[in-house]
Amino acid sequence: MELFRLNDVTFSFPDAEHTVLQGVSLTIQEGEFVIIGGASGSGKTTLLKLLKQELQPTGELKGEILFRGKPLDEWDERMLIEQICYVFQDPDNQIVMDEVMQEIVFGLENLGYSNFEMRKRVAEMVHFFGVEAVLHEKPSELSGGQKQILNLLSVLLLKPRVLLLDEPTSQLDPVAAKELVLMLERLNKETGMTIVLVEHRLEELYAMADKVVFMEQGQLLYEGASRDVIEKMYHDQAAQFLPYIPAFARLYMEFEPLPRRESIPLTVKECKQWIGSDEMQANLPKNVKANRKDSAILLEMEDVHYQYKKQTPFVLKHFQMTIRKGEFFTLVGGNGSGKTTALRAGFGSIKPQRGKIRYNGRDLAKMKDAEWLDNIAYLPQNPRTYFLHQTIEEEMKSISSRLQIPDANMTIDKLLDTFRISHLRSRHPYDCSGGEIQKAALACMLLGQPDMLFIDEPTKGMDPISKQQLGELLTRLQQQGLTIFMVTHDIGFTARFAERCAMMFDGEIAAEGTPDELFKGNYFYTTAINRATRETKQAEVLTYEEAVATWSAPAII
Amino acid sequence: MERSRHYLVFVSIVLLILLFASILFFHYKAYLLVSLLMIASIMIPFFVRFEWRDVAGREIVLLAMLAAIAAVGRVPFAGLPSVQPTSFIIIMAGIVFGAESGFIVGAVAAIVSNFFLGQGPWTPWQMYAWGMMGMTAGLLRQAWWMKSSWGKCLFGFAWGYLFGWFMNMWIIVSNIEALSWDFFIGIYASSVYFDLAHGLSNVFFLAVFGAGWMKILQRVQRKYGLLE
Amino acid sequence: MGNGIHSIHPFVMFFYYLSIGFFAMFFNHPAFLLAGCLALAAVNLTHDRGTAMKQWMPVMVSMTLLIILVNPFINSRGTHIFFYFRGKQVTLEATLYGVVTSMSLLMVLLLFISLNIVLNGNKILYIFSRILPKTAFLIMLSIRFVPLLKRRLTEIQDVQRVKGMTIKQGTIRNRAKSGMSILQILLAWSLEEAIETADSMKARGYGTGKRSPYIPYRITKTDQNWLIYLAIFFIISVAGGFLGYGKIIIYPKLGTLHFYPLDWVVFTSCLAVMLFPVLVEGREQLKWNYSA
Repeated sequence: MELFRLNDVTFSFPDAEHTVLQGVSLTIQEGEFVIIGGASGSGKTTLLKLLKQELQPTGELKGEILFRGKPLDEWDERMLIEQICYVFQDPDNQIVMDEVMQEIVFGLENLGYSNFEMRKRVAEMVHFFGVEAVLHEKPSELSGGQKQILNLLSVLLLKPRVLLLDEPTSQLDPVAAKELVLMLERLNKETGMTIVLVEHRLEELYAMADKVVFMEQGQLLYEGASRDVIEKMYHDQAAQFLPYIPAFARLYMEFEPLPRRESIPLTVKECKQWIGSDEMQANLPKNVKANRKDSAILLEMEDVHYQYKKQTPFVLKHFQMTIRKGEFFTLVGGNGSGKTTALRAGFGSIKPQRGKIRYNGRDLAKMKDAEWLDNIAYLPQNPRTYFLHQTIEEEMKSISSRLQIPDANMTIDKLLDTFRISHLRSRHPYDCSGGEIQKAALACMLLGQPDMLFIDEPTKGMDPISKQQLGELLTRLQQQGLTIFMVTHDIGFTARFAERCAMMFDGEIAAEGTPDELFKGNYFYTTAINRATRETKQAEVLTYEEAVATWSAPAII
Repeated sequence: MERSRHYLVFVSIVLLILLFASILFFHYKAYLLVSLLMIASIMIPFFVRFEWRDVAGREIVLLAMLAAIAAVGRVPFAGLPSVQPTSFIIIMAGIVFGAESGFIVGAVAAIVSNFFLGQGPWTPWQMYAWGMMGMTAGLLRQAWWMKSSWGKCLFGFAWGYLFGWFMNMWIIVSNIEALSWDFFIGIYASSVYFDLAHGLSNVFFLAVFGAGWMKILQRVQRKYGLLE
Repeated sequence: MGNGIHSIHPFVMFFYYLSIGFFAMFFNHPAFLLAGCLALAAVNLTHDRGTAMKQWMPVMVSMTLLIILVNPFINSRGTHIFFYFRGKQVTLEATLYGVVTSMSLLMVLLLFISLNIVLNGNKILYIFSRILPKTAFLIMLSIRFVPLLKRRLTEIQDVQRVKGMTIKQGTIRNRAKSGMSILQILLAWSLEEAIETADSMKARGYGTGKRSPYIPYRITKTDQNWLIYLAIFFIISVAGGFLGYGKIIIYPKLGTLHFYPLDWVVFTSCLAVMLFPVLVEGREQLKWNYSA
């Protein structure tokens, strides 16, 4: 049965020059798992919101949106609320109550259900999800992944027919993201619920999706089954979309002499079968990047111990780390491994109970903030926290006047230019996209010409294109002499851009080396493409780019 | 509107009855008890108006967020005793969003901060004092002098003292039979320093940050679609 | 739902605290008030072995001592004169009045310490949500934001500290300025994010019609029995109070402190009310020890 039908939908915001959606036509069948991809600003969130009557943004809407054959506004309001449910991007913002149980029944309360019905539905759902243990916790004590499951649960209690999700995994770490996606797959398979998902992280989703939709600048460019879409993209050589395709599918399309649509690999397993399993001689890492053993040490941590409260366990213990001048160093690790704590200790936000931290050879504990903070910069997970002023230009001016930079205006112009954000100078920082505001914050930081840059989880919620731009930008800065200390979950990003990395586990560094040394041969803690190429006829690689560079000729398979 | 006016009249009558009853029956003058009841009865109409008014979800979220920010506002000032930004935030809320919202933000901020610091017999007094602070800021926002920076500063300074004096009331009320001029003056003299610090920090914040915060709140007002 | 006193229905507990608050301000016989303070101290001990009480100890002690010591010197009513101080009479009446007032306040404070433990967040809001649902919801939302805001504050402080804005070092003026700048970012950021909160409420049907609140607490047979128990003894105590038992005359001339037989009745029924949480916990203990 046809659930949604969009006929030539065009939408524009009140005082905006161009339309957000342009002639979009789309049908969604009952029980389908639909994925919508595209760069940020391509209109995919707007499209999703138009499907949910209560969230329709104000603006001019042309064309029709039919739900089960009738326009949305002809349906009963209450029925629409129950049948079409929506989960947002940020796990924290959606929660309104102070107890998990009350949050779950919030929707039912609003719709006036009886207490009997509430208890019944809660009992059923909680059992399905296995979350009995947290029912009486406070939401603020849950992890990001648990919060997002709570949000999912609280709409599922309304027994929807279709679930709309707007980048629900973008704020989660890879493990929690996978858990959520698997839960969606289970819901789709076991209950036949229709799922429409807007997402950047598409790799594992291609295998689950019945339909993949790609958008660009408000237009619907591709629509169809996963393999059809991949084939069409390659046929059109749509370079801007290729980073969205799972890396092993790209390998197949690139290296298979006669690619056949039905056999495009969508999972690690299919990819391995395609390459053919055969033990290759483990080839030693070839492209060992510059060895910096001889350059001076910039940041050094020695036997650092830290705990947040007296009774809680140590987050850092015997933590040992050195970062040399000019290095791009990355710390990876699971949730709660202490990597963010290590970063915060590095720029002196927390004082370790034991151990020494030295910057440029001087003990942090013995320095005043003003003596060294001008030499470093910190790019937080959420760059919004950086901006105090109403426009990016004002922010830059206030920083340059504080630092007494000569020719401030010139420097600002130059920086904005090199970051290609000159058009944003008089924009409010909050009106910029995630990638734009990050660039703006970086530009502000570079005004002070720091020696070292601390970065926390920079790729969260970013589309692959912005990610690539960020990586290239950071590499350029590094080449100009900036030392970078990054903390992230994103192994793909680390493998491509970092020079040296370390894996953190249980408060200390478990292993350290180049990305090749560290990730190749890992079972889980590595990129999907590495898992797909390990123990195959081809050389083991970490990234698509590496494969293109090293797998000289198309493999003979 | 009409309903709430009836309610106000009704509550005032209940209030009078309570007062008479207290004089007739409470030989031992449970002033604290009576005053608590009185304060509760004075505040009820405001809350009831809020209950009956058609309040959009966005407005509730906005008010709750402002109250929460006012309540946690103390945190970054932990190293600076007797400087607290709560009053400043409440005044700004009143000026931008009006008298009713100002009252709600102030009263709720008091409850919320006491949820974490401990509720006590002072809670209703604090609710009332901060609520009135927000409400008067909203009521006077159209006055010509309130539109100027010095007018706002004067207002903030005055409330520094008014708030302190009002909070002294609960000590006096609970001890009213011992009331004498010495006692009265003693209590107020002991709080002069705190009130001065409160008033001066209000003035400082209003002078330095008032305009910036107005802009932020007005931007939010536009974004939320809460234009009056 | 918890054990012991935490399993009692919030309404019953609310009634209990109301009665105690009423007693504290209604009776003024020193023996009644002293018994009330001791009973509430015992109640607090059963909650958490007095941890919370310890935290409040400085406030309680200083306030009690202040009132007891200061009252006789600033108040010279009464006829039983102890001595003269700077030409003013220091009287037995004023001293006793100070003692009575301070004990009454102490009792109220102890009550709130216990209330903060037992009727925490959701329970007290549940009570108010029956009377003022929208306001209670607003408070709940606000309380839910507090931990979120605290986390955001840490993030902002980290970022701004590296930018040179600190509240730990510098002149008071600059520190206050930094603190407020940090709050300004918190305000702008959080209000921006809160739009999504409002949208998520709307998406789940908030404001479409009359809400039917979820009732997390059910009144059990035990709750009913306890409520009847409390009500009976409360009525006896208050009736006694209106007849003048449990009260003394202080001004203008101190009356008798003697306990008449009916005073004992009122006293016992007061104690029966005040010690209710101890009884609940005790019963539970007995069951644990002697069953199975």
